[in-house]
Amino acid sequence: MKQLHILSSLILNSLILLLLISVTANAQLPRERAQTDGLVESTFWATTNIGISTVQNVDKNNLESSVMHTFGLVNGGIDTFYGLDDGANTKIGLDYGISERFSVGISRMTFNKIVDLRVKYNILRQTRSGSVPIDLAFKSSLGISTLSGLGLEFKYLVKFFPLNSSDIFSVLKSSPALFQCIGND
Amino acid sequence: MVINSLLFCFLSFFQLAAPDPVDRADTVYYSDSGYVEFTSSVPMHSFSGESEQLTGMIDLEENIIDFYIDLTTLKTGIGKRDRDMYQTLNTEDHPFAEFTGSFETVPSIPDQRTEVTATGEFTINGITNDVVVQGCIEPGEEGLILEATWSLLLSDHDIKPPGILFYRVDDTQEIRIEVVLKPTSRQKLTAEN
Repeated sequence: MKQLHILSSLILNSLILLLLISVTANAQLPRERAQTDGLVESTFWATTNIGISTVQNVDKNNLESSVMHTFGLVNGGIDTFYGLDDGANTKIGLDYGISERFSVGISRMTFNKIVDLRVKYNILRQTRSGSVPIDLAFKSSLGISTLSGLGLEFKYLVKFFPLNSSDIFSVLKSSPALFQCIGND
Repeated sequence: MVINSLLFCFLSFFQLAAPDPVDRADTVYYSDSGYVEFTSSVPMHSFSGESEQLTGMIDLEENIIDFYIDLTTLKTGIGKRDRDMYQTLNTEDHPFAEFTGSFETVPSIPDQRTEVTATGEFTINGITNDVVVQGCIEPGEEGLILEATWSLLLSDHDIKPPGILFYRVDDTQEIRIEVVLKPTSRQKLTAEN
């Protein structure tokens, strides 16, 4: 009988303790994530890695400028310092995020004076929960050689898009989002 | 045994009895859509990030202030910079920045803009430090409007400012919050959470 009394007293004391804990716990709000699921970020750190496109895309309303150098072949050996002596093919480009999944870009490279127009679209975006297990992106690129004698020299392109520096500034001013992105970068 | 039972009944009544919803003693001020902004600087340039998902409450009766923000809701306008920032702030392991404290002098419900000082603990990157925050409270149409600003030192919270060589983000971050806290029943808030 005495043991039963001790046991019941213990249970009651525990209940009281639980009540007190729940009263004091109300002092702080429970921490809740704004998004329990989300996209897997930074699968790659850049939209292009070592000359190869990745599934990473330019964010919406962001403008990404890039300068890429491609050297000679590594199998040239020490005579060409593993390709570094062969000179760099320089590619200067701009990419703009139309949406979170779709971007457009333009670049110009030294090799064959190619002007490159491109689009990239993320077909699938990987989620942290695994509901979408992979990232999948589609990229299409159109290169136009502007070498002399082919009829597509750069001077004709400039004639086709008759922009001088003040015109470019006007275009940027008329597109505040683009202008802001350039300012931020 | 009898005393225990009486105490149990008393506490049960104290917690479970639903008081009048307009009871001021039961009122806390709550929001889950407050505005928070930080301003950061690098040499010759500054940028800011913002979020409108600051969550928190003020309990004038108990003198409790409690706010938190999911750091991944902060946006600076450039996605790459956001991702770098989340990595710097270690949001995978510590997704929240939070402040819990109390007013130095508990204000009555103000009828005009009133300056207040809060002391408490600010936690980010899992490291907690004592802070004193100056702010203002004023009555609004929907509840209390709270504004506060303070400076945060990243190094105090073991956060290494990102950068290259001498081009680094400044250690000092200016924080500003603005939030409309609506009167809510404490019981209701507790039940929802």
